[in-house]
Amino acid sequence: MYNTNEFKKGLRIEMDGVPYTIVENQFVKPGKGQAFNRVKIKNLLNGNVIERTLKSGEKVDKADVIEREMQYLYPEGDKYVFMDTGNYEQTEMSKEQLGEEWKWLLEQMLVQVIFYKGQPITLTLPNFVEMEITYCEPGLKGDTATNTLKPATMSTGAQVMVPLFITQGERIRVDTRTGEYMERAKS
Amino acid sequence: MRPVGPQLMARAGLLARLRQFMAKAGLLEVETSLMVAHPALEPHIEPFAIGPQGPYLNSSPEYAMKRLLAKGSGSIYQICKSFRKEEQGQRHRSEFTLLEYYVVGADLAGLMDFTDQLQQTVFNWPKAERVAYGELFKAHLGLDPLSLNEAQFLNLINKRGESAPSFLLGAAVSQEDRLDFLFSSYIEPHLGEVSPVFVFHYPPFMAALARLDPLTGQACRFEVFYKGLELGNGYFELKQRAEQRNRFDLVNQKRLERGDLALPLDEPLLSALDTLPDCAGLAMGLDRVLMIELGSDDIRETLAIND
Repeated sequence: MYNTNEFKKGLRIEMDGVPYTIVENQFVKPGKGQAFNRVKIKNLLNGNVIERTLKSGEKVDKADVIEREMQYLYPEGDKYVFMDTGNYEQTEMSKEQLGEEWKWLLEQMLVQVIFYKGQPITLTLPNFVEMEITYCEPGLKGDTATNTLKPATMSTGAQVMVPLFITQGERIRVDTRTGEYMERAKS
Repeated sequence: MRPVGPQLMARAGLLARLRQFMAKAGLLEVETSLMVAHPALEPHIEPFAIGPQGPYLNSSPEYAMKRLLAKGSGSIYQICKSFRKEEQGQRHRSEFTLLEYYVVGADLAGLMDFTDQLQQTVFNWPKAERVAYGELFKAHLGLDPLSLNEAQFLNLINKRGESAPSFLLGAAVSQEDRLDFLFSSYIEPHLGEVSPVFVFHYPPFMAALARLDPLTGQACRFEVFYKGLELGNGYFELKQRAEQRNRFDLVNQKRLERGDLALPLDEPLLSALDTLPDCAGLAMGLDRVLMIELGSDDIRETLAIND
């Protein structure tokens, strides 16, 4: 159990049988009055963020959540197969469980898979990935403007807006949290 | 994080100006013990107990200062550390700096005048506005705090698309706890955007150590708000020993019902009330005053060292 005074961003708690992670925690206390904690919590199963108010000093359950470092191996039908880098155990996740994250999954990539009560529920990607552009309109040589963008299709099927001077077949660096183009890959 | 300079300079300057103001106004600076046998007896303030039977770190110097007043000290003030268990957040620290003063011969209006003068001179704040507690509830929430019932409480919160916290539902919940929740959630954040606000005339069940107005029955208590922060709490002090003992007993009863420990009654304070002169006193959190001066939204940024 966690007491509300242990609350902080990122702590994983369980309420009404649902695992949540704390996004924001605010301690409120009128000078002479009852203290309470106003928290924003993110449902780990569906990603929804809700607000709750708890009496300070109240205890809540710890979520039975663990994180394992796993390597993404390959797709199998509409499943994605991962392997624990420690014990080589394999786990499958559905496209639905991955949400938008499938867009940035490259074979061999190391990710953090989050398990709730022994079942994989979601994963955390590296913040930045490098991938190849499989299709985009030809580049305009000499156009170095970075504020005009065009769509490009990645090897995973994801769409990224890239500057005009980028050409098909190039490797670029993408921020997986925003889906935005960062720069040309260095290597 | 800010560099170490500004908050050190701001605090030193504030303390120097405060002492200058108080000396001019004729208040005597006093120092009472931080380690006390009788902590402040409050339903929602937890003192740190040093041993199993006390002593305690003081959560406010109020009781000791009232004993000095009863002995004929005249108007006094103190700047000291106070300690409250389990209070930690952007606006709270378990250890904080309190300014507490008592003006002999002042009533509630007199204390508001004195406090306004102090704020304008020492903090460089604009002149304060004054508004009654009941008026604020009417203006912001459209209801009368004295007659608030659970259905109204629920309705008000649901209308905002929020759900009422479960610990504030049920017959055992006090009116005071519900009012405090509504006040700090929906009223306080809007108070004092332009100038400080003195909120006066609290309901009688929120009187604590204040006397009741014989005409209206309301508590002769006011609180100071500025920039959405609660800064100070003042009373026209209650002098009736029997009435004060009653209120203390009620507090302990509430604490026991909740499963908290009862706290020892401060008998020397109760005896002192017999000779307490007519006076009004206020406590103000100086770290929060510094938050405003520094434009900070985190109390830790006002500290010299913040580990």
